[in-house]
Amino acid sequence: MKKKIKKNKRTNDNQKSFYFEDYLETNIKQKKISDSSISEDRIYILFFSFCFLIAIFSIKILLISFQEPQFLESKKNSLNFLPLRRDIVDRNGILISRNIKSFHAAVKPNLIKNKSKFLLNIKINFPEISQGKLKNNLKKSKYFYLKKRLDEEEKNKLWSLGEKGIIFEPYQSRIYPHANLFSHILGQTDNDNYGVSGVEQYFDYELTDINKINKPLILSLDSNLQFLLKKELENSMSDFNAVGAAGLLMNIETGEVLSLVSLPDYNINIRKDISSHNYTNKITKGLFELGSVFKTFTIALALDEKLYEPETIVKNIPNKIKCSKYSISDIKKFPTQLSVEDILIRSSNIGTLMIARKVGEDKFKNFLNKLNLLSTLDFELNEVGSPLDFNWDKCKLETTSFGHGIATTPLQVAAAYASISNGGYKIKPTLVKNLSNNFIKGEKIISENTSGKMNKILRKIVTDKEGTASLADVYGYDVGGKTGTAKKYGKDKNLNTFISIFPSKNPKYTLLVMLDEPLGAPNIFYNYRGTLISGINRNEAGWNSAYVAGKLIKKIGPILAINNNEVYNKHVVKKVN
Amino acid sequence: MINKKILLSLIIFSILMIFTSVIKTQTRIIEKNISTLEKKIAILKTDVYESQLDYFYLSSPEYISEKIKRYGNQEYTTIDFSRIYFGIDQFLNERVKTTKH
Repeated sequence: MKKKIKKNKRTNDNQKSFYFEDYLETNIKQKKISDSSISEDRIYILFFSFCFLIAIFSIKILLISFQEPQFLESKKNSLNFLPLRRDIVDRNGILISRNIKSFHAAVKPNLIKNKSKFLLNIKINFPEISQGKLKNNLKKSKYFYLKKRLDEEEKNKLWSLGEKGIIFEPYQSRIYPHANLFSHILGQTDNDNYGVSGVEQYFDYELTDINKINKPLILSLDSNLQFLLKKELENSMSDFNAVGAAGLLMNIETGEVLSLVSLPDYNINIRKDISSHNYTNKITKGLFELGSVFKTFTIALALDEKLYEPETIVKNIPNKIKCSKYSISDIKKFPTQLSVEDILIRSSNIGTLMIARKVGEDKFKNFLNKLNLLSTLDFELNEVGSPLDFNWDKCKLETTSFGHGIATTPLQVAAAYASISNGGYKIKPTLVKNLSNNFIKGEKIISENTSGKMNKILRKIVTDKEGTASLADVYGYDVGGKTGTAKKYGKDKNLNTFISIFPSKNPKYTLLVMLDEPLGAPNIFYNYRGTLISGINRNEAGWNSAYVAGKLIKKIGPILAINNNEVYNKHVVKKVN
Repeated sequence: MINKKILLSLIIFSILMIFTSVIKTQTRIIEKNISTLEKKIAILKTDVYESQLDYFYLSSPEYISEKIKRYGNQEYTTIDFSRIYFGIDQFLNERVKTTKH
């Protein structure tokens, strides 16, 4: 036994107890070490998970801080109305076109409990809506439109019905507060807010530019001038029983159109199919033979070519002249000798024709080309007419020299007059306000000297005893201009035009007045060279278009702030040596 | 040593977390206030937008001339620019000026 014990003792010398090996000092140490490593691992895990959470929070906070605050996002805010198209304003900032929130009324038939009551309510409030169609739509149980483009009153009527099944579907509609006033210029938009005519169509891209949506498009037009022009032309239509009338007021240096009226017009807030040609924009789209207003171009070219001076006498002017198979004559009998300026003042067809022959066809054609009278004018509307093509055959130079056989738009002719009067610079008519003070002059067409001479002759047409436009002489405004009485093809009707420039000593504006098929007005009291006369039944531009232009200039002159020279000379003290 | 570092980091993170939550709460309150004000401004803007349209319609030359015709008792006539005087003194002065000596 002892031997056995000794033997065992030899086998494990470190053993202290036979039964509790775990209590060995080394084992306790090892256990402690293993326990502490486990707890350290746990702390690390906890630490890293905590760090991970902090990192997530930090990233989130960073992300939030970089984000645009939600309240600044106007699109999400239903209260913020963001128009789809820009406003259009006139040159003085007066609003002429704007998008507003409107509604279509739609119906969800499933939500209507009492359909017969609903039908009755609609019949009472909206008798124009077909009951049969409405009944059918209600039976189909599909979402349908009850009425599109509701106005405020209609919306209130439907709202007051308290019907759950009526849905007010919002959309944006275009409103024109001046209704008819700019109808031929502004045009219209469709239900999807795309421009379909006029300025709305031409500037469609600019008007829908999201970066400029809060900035209005500024036109060169003036609402007050536009109104005066429209009113006066409406009055003239009734005074002279004309079927239509048109007017254009333009700055002759910048080409800015201040007013453009074509009558009859229409309310652009109302959707209506207009098929009559009478509603065409007569100024930009209408092509007319404007007659004697073309004589100004012939004389201007002759003076510029130094073939004549205004005082040069043209001898042996016949009363009638044969040109190819045509016979050309003057309306009145004129003296056989007339000065060049007298030919224009009295509006002699044959005198002008003789001057044109001396100028020559090539030069005349080239001059008309330079004045943009033979090609389509670049203008900010799609409704622009292209002059009719013609062959320069045997008698074309002669007839064109006094405005026959050449059809152009009144806008082209007014722009050409502006070029003749502004010192001879070509202009580009525009509907957009010139916001820069620096204005670059266009190509030189005639010399300043010729331009000055022409302005003097145009003034004489108004002031001279033999002139055709005495009724346009307005005290203080120094009006000059040329009349044009043209016969319409196939009709015994006239197209009477007067194109004026004022003040003629330093021209600033050109005004065109055109009356379509006017009649004589014996009831009108004309102030003819200081004497009131009536009973005049003459249907010539000098007796209607020039008369209307005179009345107009009297009204618009103070608005245009033209220095009234005659008043100035009369009322302002001059320093005497 | 590690424990101290961990502890310090934890304290810093905790303080930052508290600050963050406080700032966030404050920001939310400010955001709410701004949002309320933005809504009020939006309503006012819409009112102005619609009123402008009314204003331009009611002050259009066509509307005014129609109203004058309907309600105005005065008869308006045109007068030459040269005859417009802004007071009796101006009128008298003009008369003196126009009198040629």
